[in-house]
Amino acid sequence: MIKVLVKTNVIRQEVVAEVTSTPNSIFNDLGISVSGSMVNLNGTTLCGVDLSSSFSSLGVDDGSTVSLNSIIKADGAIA
Amino acid sequence: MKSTETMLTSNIGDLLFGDWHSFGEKTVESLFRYISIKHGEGDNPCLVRGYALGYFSNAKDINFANTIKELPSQNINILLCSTEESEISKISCDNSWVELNTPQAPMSEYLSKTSLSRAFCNFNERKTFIVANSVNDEWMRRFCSVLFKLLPWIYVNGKVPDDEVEIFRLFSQKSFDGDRFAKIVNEAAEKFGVRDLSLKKALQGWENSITDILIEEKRDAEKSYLSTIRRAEEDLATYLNALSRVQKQLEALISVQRDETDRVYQFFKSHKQLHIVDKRSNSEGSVLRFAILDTIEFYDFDVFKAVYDNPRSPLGRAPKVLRELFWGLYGLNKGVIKAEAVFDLTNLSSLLPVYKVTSGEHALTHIRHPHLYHHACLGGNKNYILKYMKDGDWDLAIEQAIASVKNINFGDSVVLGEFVQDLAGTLSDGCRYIVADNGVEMTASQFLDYIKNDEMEDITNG
Repeated sequence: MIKVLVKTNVIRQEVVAEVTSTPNSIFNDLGISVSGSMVNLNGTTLCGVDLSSSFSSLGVDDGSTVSLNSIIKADGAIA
Repeated sequence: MKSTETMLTSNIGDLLFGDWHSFGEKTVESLFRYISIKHGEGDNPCLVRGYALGYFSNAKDINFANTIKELPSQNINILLCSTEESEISKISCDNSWVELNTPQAPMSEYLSKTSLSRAFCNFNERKTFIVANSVNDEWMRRFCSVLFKLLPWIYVNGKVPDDEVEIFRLFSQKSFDGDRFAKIVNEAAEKFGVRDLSLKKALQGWENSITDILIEEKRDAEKSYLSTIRRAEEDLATYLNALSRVQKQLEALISVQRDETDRVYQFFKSHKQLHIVDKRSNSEGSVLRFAILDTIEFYDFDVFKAVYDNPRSPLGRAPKVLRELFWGLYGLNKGVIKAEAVFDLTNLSSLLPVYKVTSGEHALTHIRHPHLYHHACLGGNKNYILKYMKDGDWDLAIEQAIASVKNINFGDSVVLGEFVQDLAGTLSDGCRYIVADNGVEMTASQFLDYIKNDEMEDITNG
């Protein structure tokens, strides 16, 4: 089991999950859409394939605590 | 006539009758007040009051009706004035006035035995008007001795009650007996209860007025205290709000000391792209300066293509080799650029990019982030960072700052110009700031070789 600290611009929640679960499953369970967002796991940006990969394959050890963040991708300049 | 002090003209008497002393004569005033208590009623027994009008040079100036209208008090009923003997006979009056000179009451004649005089009476108005050539002591004694005849609305038909006969006779005697006069007056005063009435009139009014004054004073004090209490309540509310704010801040600070420090440590430990530059304190508080080292991956391809194809854009005007470099990175996605930006995190309540500053430790592996280094511009990320900081979500704010490092906006021509210049400067140096799609970190020239070789392989492989 792992503890996942899920943080987005609208939610901040602690979830206990299996190490075999995926970031996508966590977001789905919480009803969070991450399209157009930058998702990172402990600061490491996750690409589309990573979102469907298990936490263990993403290097998360059983029993650990990780941060799973969905950050809005905003422009670097305001027109 | 000897001036005689009696109880009725003493301070006690004045409390009841007022401090009006008719003709300035205490004996005469005592007699007036004696008549008042004998014939008056109630708490305000004043019946007789004299008023000296002074000297008139012409009889025509003596006007009874006008004088009555202008009297200072309604209780004045004996008016006395003087004029020349020759004028006295010229005095005239209207029908409402009658001269008291009938055979039954020849007052004008009687008073004239001392000095030429005329006495007139208005029964309805209860006024007697006397004009004398000269008013002296003897004339005044004569006047007092027949006063009951001059006040016909009190002594009807000139009849004097038996117990009052003596006092009038005292004034017709050759030598006025002041002691006897005082005794008679004082006995009458005692019998009438002048002392009690005086005290009642003086102290009841006084007590009421004092009570009114005290009530007014207490009302003012009440208003003042209520106003003070309201101000104090407002101040108290302000202080309580301030205290509440301080307590919340204190609670948050204590929480930070016990918990957040460890969370900050854990956060930085888990985020490999965060590198501490230094930690210091200044006037704004405790500042943690750190560098974000990450790859620029987020951009709008359509915008990139538009500026790439626009010959007037900084990228369109760039040398061929630079355009190839940009195309390999953002057209073919054969690699990504590693960039650095420096931020200041102050008191876990403010997060700002630092203008024109780098850590100085990653010049051989990272380029300066074009938006953040040259302009400290967070773009659309700024509002999110501010919101997170306001909510106390400093970790999400740093995540958003990382997102800003990963972004490039090709639509900003000023920044694009600086970005092109920066990359031009890397064509000949050894900065390995590009991560190719094979995972190898390369310099710009190595990357250009890499994409050319890749193209050749593609052509060779058909």
